[in-house]
Amino acid sequence: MAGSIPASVGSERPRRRVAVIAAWLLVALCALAFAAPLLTPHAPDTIDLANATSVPAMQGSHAWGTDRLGRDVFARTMQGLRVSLLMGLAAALASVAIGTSWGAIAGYAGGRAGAAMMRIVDVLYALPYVFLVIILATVFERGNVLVLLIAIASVGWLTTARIVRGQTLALRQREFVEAARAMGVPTWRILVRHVLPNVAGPVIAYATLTVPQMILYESFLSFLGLGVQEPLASLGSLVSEGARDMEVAPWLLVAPATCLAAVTLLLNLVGDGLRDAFDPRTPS
Amino acid sequence: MMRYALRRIIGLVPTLWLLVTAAFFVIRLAPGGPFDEERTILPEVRANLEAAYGLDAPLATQYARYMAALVRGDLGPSFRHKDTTVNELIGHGLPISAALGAAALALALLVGVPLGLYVAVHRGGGVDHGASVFTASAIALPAFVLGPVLALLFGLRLRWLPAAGWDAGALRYAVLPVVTLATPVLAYVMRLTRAGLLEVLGLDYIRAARARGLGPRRVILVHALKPALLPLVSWLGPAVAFVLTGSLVVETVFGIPGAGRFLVEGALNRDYTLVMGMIVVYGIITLLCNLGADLAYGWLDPRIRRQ
Repeated sequence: MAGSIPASVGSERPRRRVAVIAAWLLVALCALAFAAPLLTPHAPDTIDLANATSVPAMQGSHAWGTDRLGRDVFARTMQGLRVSLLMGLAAALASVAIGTSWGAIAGYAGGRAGAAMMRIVDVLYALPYVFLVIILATVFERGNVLVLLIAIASVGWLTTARIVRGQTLALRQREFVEAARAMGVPTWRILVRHVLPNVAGPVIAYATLTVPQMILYESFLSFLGLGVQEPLASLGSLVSEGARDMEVAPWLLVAPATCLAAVTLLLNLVGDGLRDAFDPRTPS
Repeated sequence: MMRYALRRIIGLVPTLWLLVTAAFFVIRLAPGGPFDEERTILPEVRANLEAAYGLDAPLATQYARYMAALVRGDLGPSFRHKDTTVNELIGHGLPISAALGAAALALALLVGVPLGLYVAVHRGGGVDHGASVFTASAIALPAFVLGPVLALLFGLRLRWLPAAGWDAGALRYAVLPVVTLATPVLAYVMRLTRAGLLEVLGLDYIRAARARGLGPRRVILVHALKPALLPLVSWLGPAVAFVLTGSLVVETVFGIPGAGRFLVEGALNRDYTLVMGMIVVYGIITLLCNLGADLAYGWLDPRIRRQ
């Protein structure tokens, strides 16, 4: 605890460089995931029992080895990465859309109605998200991708709603909004033309942070067996398979675990960088 | 203060009622029942089974029965664990889950707060950069990745610790699960403590204290510490929810006989009463912990207390 007390928080340049590098690595990883079918002759679901659980080898045709059924680990991991990325992106888009409209309406309406809307957000916020997701998984058929998307998106919109409401409350008092109201512009038009463009910055930054969160929710469910079902794979279900066989074939765990960690870490770094750019005051 | 706390606890009842009611109807309205997967079941047997569990009554009656039993603290019989009540199942598992969660939370706070203060004071140094790499990675690594990797590394490769099992909470068995559960929490605690202290250190009253000639140690520990920890305290409520969620995974990964696995198992088997029971119990725990964090916040921050 010795030493002097640092001065107040200033701008942090290295963080921006980290975010830019992370963005490029992320682009490279996505390109790899989507180009993977061109890079390997193996389909992710071709069963080849003659070559089951073969060890990763640079020279062989299975560079990342094969699983218990002889499926190529590289092809399967890349398929899992594609599924996780697409699910994360779709769920993040849905939850940002819900959160933005909910927050903008609650903030602009204000008063009792706005407070009641935010009270709902508070209650949902306080409960572990697995409740909702597990209830939905209990109710609906397992493996239905749409239900899975709805389940994870329905817990992802809460923070966006809070952020947008805060911004809208401030915007409502601004002169240009008041002027629009005085000119008789209908409420929905004020929201769309004047409020939403002004909250776009923080929303985009937070949306980038929502994607890894959605990927983790989806993987969490798939890990527990409540998400994506065979033969389709996501990173979560691959980690779960890998954990089951890690005693004999640790590479089955290492490949999807590394991909999942890399993709969430990179997305978090990019999102943090964007948030700093749009809102330098938020400490992280 | 006591009356205020009591009023807040009573205020939780409607929230809990809403949660239980919503969960009850959503689950019951679902297609399919708990006995769908029983092989070759005669219609008469199924009718008897449903009658035995009260599933043949109208939904409103079932709801009334469930709520009446719930008020007495009875969560009903499990559909899948024969001759076992949900109370027994959860009563068996909950102490284990609670011990696991409490140990992880304690570890995260005892290590995270001092580390967070240290990196805030030595901001921009090597330790600070190392710590920010650690926090970013720890937050990106979910428990279901970290757990199996730790088990593989320390359990199966190095053979330092058992890779799975619980053995009544013996220390050797508890290390890996607790570390897995604590790591992301530790990362958040560090971040919040660091940011909190940096924020406070920029305020005028700290500069005034420095100007009066007080040493850095005294300024930080006596003047800055309490307000610096406020964001952390308000995060502790959600942190409990985070730990509960994590414990589902950790219990699955390490084969720990806690209560968390019942939530997943109940969902997989459509064991309605078990899922409902878990939602009630974990719902009460989270709501109480959120309330506790709120009250602690008010106690620490005199500006709120006066309102």
